[in-house]
Amino acid sequence: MSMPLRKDLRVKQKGFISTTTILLLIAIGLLALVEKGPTVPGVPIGASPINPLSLGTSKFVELASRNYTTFIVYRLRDLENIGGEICLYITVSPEIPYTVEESKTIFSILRNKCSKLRFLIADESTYSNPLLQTLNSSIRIEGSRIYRISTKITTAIVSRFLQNISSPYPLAEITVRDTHRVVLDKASAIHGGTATGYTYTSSRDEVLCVIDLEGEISRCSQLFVVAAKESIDRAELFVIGDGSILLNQVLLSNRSEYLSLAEDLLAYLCEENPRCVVVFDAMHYTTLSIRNVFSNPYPILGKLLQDPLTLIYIVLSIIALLLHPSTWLPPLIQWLSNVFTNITIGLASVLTIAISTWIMYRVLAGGTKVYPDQRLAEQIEEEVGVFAELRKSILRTKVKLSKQDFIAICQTLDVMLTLYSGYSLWSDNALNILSDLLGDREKAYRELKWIYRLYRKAFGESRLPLIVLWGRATKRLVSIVDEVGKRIGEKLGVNIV
Amino acid sequence: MIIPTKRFAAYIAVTASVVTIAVLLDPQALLTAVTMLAIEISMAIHLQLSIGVLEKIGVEVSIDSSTDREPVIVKIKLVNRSIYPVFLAEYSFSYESILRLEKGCRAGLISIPSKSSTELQFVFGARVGTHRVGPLTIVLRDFLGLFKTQPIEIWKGSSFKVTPSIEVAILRKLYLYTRSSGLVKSRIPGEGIEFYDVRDYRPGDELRRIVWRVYASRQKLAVWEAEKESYQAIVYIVNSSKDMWTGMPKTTPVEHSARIIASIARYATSRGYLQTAVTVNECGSKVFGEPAFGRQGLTRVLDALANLSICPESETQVNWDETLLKILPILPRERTFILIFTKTTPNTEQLINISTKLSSLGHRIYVVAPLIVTYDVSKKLPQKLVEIYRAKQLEIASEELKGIEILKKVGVKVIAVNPQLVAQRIIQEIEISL
Repeated sequence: MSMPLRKDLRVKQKGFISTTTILLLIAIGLLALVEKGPTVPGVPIGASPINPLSLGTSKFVELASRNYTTFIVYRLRDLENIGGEICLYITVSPEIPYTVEESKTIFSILRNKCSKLRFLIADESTYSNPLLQTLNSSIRIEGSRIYRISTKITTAIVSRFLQNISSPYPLAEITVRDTHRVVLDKASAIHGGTATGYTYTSSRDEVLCVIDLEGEISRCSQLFVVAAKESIDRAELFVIGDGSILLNQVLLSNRSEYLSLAEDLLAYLCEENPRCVVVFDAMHYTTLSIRNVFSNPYPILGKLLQDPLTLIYIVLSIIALLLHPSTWLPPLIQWLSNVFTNITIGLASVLTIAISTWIMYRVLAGGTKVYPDQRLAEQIEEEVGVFAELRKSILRTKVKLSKQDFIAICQTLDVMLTLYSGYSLWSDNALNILSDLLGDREKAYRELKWIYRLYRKAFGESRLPLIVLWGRATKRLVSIVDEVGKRIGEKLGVNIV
Repeated sequence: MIIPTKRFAAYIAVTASVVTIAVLLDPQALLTAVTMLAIEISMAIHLQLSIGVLEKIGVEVSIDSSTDREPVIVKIKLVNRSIYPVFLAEYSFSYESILRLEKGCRAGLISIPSKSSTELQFVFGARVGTHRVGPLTIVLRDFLGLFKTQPIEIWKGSSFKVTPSIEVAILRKLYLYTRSSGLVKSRIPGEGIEFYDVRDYRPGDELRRIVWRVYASRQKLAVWEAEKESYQAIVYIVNSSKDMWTGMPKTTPVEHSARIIASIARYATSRGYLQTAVTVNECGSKVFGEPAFGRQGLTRVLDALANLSICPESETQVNWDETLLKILPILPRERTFILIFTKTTPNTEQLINISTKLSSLGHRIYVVAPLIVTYDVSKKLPQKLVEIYRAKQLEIASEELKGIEILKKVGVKVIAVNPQLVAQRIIQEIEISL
């Protein structure tokens, strides 16, 4: 049974890293996170490889990662970390057009890092064409839409007649290593390169037409090229005019031909080499930014609420983004900056500076106790003994002479006379002795009589004289004693007082 | 240990204001703020280094003291063997409060350069007895006075002894007095070397003492007879309690007594007397051996006088009973002349007790009572207080005189004469007693 330790027996935990250091490290970490930013600036909802929803391509990434080293690049500098024997760069339905500059960068980096270079471009738009152009490929994606249309409609507005066909989406036959028959979505015709995939119709009543953005039929044919490949320099390209065949919703559906096509594409382009590195582009997709969500949430939420899974995904993604310092730290600093700017104007600034100075003082001083800077105590040279004490006492306190002093000095005179002559001051011979010492009998008599009177008064034996100033009387007695002492000294060669 | 001063608080307040300005108003002030903080830190570092140097500093002390005629010179050499100098060291030199510094400063500022030394010299007016000097304490400061150290004791202190000088004038006066008065002659025939008389030969006289010249002229045997050598054992008991140190330095009762004793001891040495000394004060008694002849005796007496000291415990009084117990074992069987140099108050009863007991053992006791009133010199008091002071002084004198009177009444011999006549009077008593 464990007993609680007494307070004084408990082992004290000692921190080897100070709180300041920890706070400093946290600050550095936050700044680094802000500088690096989140993985993606918002919630990807398109054909991004990190989108696990139906329109994403995360399943394709998962498929690739089963057999090959797989990377998802969020920014161009991520490519610097990639290298291998065969590098397969895949972009599926990008939502942001490639620029020539970044295409050159992508090509340049991968060419330097990889022995063999492969590109899989599954795109129904023209956004990937700059990349193809940079690679010196002859293949181009038209960006048009190929639909199956009834032969009765040739020039009319398509939308009015599409409803008459069971499915407007064209059937396609794409040959990689094997030939795969799939239904395309919004496929675009491509040209150039070596054609490896064609659309076809299921009956003679149908025709495949390319419809422009205004819905006008620009041309019709029984066959359109929707896939092509080409070898240029050290690179090999495989282009499909439809990215939808690689989306999660297709790959996860019951129909296995799409999965088979995807696996065949990977196996063909990687040459089934396990050292093949598959790179998925996640740079060219729009994201649902937090700012947009919060500034205008209802339309977005309205769409998202239709699918609970999507809603959960969006909410969790938004929470993750919200927690990231890059989301809240810059606005916080901006807010603080604004606050500082406001409070450093006018009267508020005086108060602010005063309070800030006081706080800063407390921080810098750290509660240190300060002491007056006094010099060291100097040695005091002083007299000792009874007279030194007497002198200090007189200087320190207001000493007044009283009748007690008078009595004490009378006794001094008495002792002096006794030592000198053997006769006391109160004896009958005192007058003779004093006369002898003072050399004036009359004076001796006068002084002795005065001493007797005041001595009796001091002892309360007599009331006369009525008024006595004892201080003055004592001083007079002192002068008599001094004179007597001096005479004794002269006579005996002895200084006694 | 470093402690911040109030100047540090002011400095930090200014620094804090500069930092605030830098943060809120003008970032350019940040450089100034950082500089100010750097200065503060550098001052603290400098002080830490200085403390380190001071803790390892070498202290070489020499104290030159001999008699109360020559000044006492205390030299303290502070040797800095490190490569870091010590700046702005405030020192304070302590010593007994009754000492008087004649040259040198008891407190001041010094610097000790690196790989070098600094010497402090203190010259004191010599006072008889054992006195303590030190400790030497140092406080370090930085250049701006932001920090200072706790007082650091770099030298714990030491004691020195000052022997009373033998006053040639007194000694000469003693020789002159004793010769002129014939006090030194015993006037009794006996063992000795001084010629006393020639007398007729008696059986048993040594042949070598026969005066052959007398035999040649008178045809009668006569022998040379010596004067009996007289000797006396003297024990000096000196009270060095606080009141005996009253008065002007060097002329206090105890110092005056010490000089008189030294002169008497020198005289007694030439007379071949046995002598020793005992010191007493509030802290206790100290006996300096049994009475000894010649130089040895003189050395014992001078050693005792050089050991006179003031007792720091001021509340207690002299314990004369303890003194009696300590001196009894050293007293010879013969009659000893015991001189007690003391004031008679406040423990007159104890003095009577010791005197009576020693007298009953056949020793001769003399209490030499310096009337301390006569040693007190009027200090600079305000005129209106002078008369009051004199009145109070007479009251104290009364007690002393009463003490003398009481001692005399019980038969204790008291010598309370003019200080100039004390030595002569004592010698007179000694020689007559033989």
